[in-house]
Amino acid sequence: MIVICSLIVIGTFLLWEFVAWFTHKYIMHGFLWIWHKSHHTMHDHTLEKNDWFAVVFSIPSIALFYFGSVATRNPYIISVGIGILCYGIFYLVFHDVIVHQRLKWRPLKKSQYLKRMINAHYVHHSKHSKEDCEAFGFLIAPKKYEPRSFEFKSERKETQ
Amino acid sequence: MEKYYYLLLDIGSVLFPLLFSFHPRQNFSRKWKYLWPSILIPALLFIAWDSWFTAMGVWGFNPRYLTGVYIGNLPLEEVLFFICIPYACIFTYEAVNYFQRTEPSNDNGNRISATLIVGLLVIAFKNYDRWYTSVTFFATAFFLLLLLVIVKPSWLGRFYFAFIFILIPFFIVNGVLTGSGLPEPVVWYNDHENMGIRMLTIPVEDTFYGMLLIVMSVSIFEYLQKKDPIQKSI
Repeated sequence: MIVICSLIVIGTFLLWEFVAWFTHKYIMHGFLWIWHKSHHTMHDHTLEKNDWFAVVFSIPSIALFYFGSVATRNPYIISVGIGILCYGIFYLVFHDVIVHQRLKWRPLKKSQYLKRMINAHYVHHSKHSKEDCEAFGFLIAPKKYEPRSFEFKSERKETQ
Repeated sequence: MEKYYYLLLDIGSVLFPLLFSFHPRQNFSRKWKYLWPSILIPALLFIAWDSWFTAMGVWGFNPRYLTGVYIGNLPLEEVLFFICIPYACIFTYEAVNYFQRTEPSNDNGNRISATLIVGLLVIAFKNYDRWYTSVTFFATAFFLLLLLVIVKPSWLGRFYFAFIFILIPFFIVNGVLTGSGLPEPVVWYNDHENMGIRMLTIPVEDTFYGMLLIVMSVSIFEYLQKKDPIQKSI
C-alpha cells in the first residue's frame, strides 16, 4: 500500500504541473485575468489580488485531507492531497521565492535546468498583457528557454 | 481551581520569559517585531493540524482541567499553547545564544539534521498507519530536509544546542499535560495512532512535534532579522 500511495503522490505532483499550466494559460490569462493582472503589474504591495489563486488552489488539497481522514479513512485520497500539497510547496518556493523574490532568498548554486526554469518564467513576465504571453509551465521548461547568459533578478519589481 | 490547570500551564510557561524580556542587558522585547510573525505563522499551521487530529480522535482534551471556552473544536488553552510555548522557546534560544561564547559548529548541525531526517523517515514509513507518528515524522523530516538541502541556514548548530535546553521545560510542561502528577491527563492520546512509547507519560512523538514547531519559528525569526537592514548594521 505504501508503494501505491507513494506513486499516487508522485503522479498527482506531476499531474498538477499540467493542471497549473492549463489553469495559468486558459483561466488566469482567460476570464480570471481580473485577478491575475495584479501579478503582471509593477507594484510594491506585499500581497496582490493574484494571491487569491493560492487560496483557491489550497481548497482541493484541504478537502481531500478532510475526506480522506475525518470523513472516510482512505489513504489513497490522502495521497492525492499530499501530492497537491507538495506541488503547492514547490510552487511557493520556486515561483514566489526564487523567481519573484517575495522573500529575499535564493539558492547559491543553481543547476542548468533550474536556470532554464527561472528564465522561462522571466520570459513569461516579459509581457504585461492578457494575450501574447508564452511559457505558462513551471516545472517543465522546454529547451528553447535555455538562457544564453543567465542573470538572476534579485528585485521583485524586475520580475513583475 | 482544577478548571484553570491548563490555562495556568500556559501562563506559567510564558511568565518568566515575558518578565525577563525587558532585561536591560539583553532586551528581548526589542526583537518583538520579528517575533510575532515567527509565532503566528507556525501557530496557524499547528492549530489547523491540531483541529484536524482532534476531529479524528488522535488526541483530545479533558474538560476537567479546562475553562470551557472553545474556539472551533479546540479549547482556548490549546490555542494559547501555540503562542505561549513558542514565545518561551524563542526566548530560550536567544538566551542560550547570548550566553554561548563559542558558536556551535554548523557542520555538527548539518550532521544532526541528516541523521534525524533518515531516522524520522524510516520510522515514519514503518508506522505509516499511525497518524500521529507518520504525519509528525514526515513533516519534521521534510522541513529539516528543506533547511538542509535548499535553505542552508547558518544557525542550525545554534538551534540544536539551544534545543537541549528547551527540552527541560518541555518535559515538565508536557509531562503535566499528559498526566504526570495529576489523577488524569489534561491531553489524552489515542495509542493506536502513536507508537505507544512513552517517556514517563509523554509520547515520544511529542519531542519532534515540538521540534518542528520551534524550528519553524526560529527559521522565520532568523530570516526576518537577517533581512532587516537595521539589524544588519548592528
